[in-house]
Amino acid sequence: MNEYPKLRTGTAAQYPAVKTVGYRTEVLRFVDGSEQRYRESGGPVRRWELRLDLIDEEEWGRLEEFFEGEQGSFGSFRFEDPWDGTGYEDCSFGGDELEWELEGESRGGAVVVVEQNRT
Amino acid sequence: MPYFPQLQSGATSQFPARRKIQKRTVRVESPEGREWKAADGLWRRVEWRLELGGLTSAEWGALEGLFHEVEGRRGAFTFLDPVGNLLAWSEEPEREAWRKDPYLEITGEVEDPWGTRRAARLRNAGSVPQKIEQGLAAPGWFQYCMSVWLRSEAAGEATVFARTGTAAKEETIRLDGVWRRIAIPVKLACEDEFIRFGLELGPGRAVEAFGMQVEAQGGASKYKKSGSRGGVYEEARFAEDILAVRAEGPECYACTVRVVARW
Repeated sequence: MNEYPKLRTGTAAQYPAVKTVGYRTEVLRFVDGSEQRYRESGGPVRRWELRLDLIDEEEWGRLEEFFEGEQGSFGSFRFEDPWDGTGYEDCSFGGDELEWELEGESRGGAVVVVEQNRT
Repeated sequence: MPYFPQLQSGATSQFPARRKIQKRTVRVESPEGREWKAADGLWRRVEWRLELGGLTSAEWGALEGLFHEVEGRRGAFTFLDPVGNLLAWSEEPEREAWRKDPYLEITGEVEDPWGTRRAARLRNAGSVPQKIEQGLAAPGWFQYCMSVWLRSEAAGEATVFARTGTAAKEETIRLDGVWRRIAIPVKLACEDEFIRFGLELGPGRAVEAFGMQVEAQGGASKYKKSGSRGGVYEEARFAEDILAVRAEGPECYACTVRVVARW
């Protein structure tokens, strides 16, 4: 399985980093006020928003090449949670777009979203 | 074919510049919460957002002229990626994108300036000069900078060149065993719409080469590895039907331009 590429520093994320964990719960409310709740996915879904600053052309090139290889949000790869080092085997890019802003020579920035796939 | 104009500096863009690549994925969610995906492998798009400032009336006029010529989003023009390597397969000289003379021997996976094995050894086994080159369907009269790392274990030399049908620039470089990045600005006086960049070796010469890069600007920026897609986009279009300009002072204009192209 492919592995999400790391920056030159050996990490995948920089500060500020955002991580969310979500469940999908369906709630049915009845006329008498009672509720029935059930889950709509097999387990929690994790999402990481990685804000990258001061990345250079080579780091960006690796990320873009990886995005291309994964065909945007289609492919599945292993992502190591930068918060605790846990490896998640089935993750994808959160969208089909990858944007890079080049503020100067070797001073690029990007926001990358990685999501754990629902099973 | 119309071309996106270069500024007087020889560059196409200024900082900050944005580049976005887009893919398309079909997602289907099943009732039990599973998600199925299918990639639309043929649909790929790239978009640039260029914020241009300090333009002279001539620079703005060239941009506005192109906008009128292609009638906003309707027509296509050639756009040279301002943040990419114009050459394809920059680390794979065996690929078809590169045209090789028959007696030029190429050995891959040679140690490069960073200690990895991404460079190539080129050896002329013939008795006449042999070259490796890549042609670009781009204006021959634009400003370019060609750069490449070279070394030769035996003291040797190589000729770095840019040629069109009617004009050329060549520089013969003396080499030793130390990697050196050679950067050659190219601006030819011609009207050709095809330009070739490459390396030429004399009979019996051997060099190691890495990271050949061509950019549509006056100087070399950091090396960018390229794959199957080089940086010449022949079917680029404006992303919007409106082009707005701000006059910030006499002979000083600014605008934001969005350009899109199929990958």
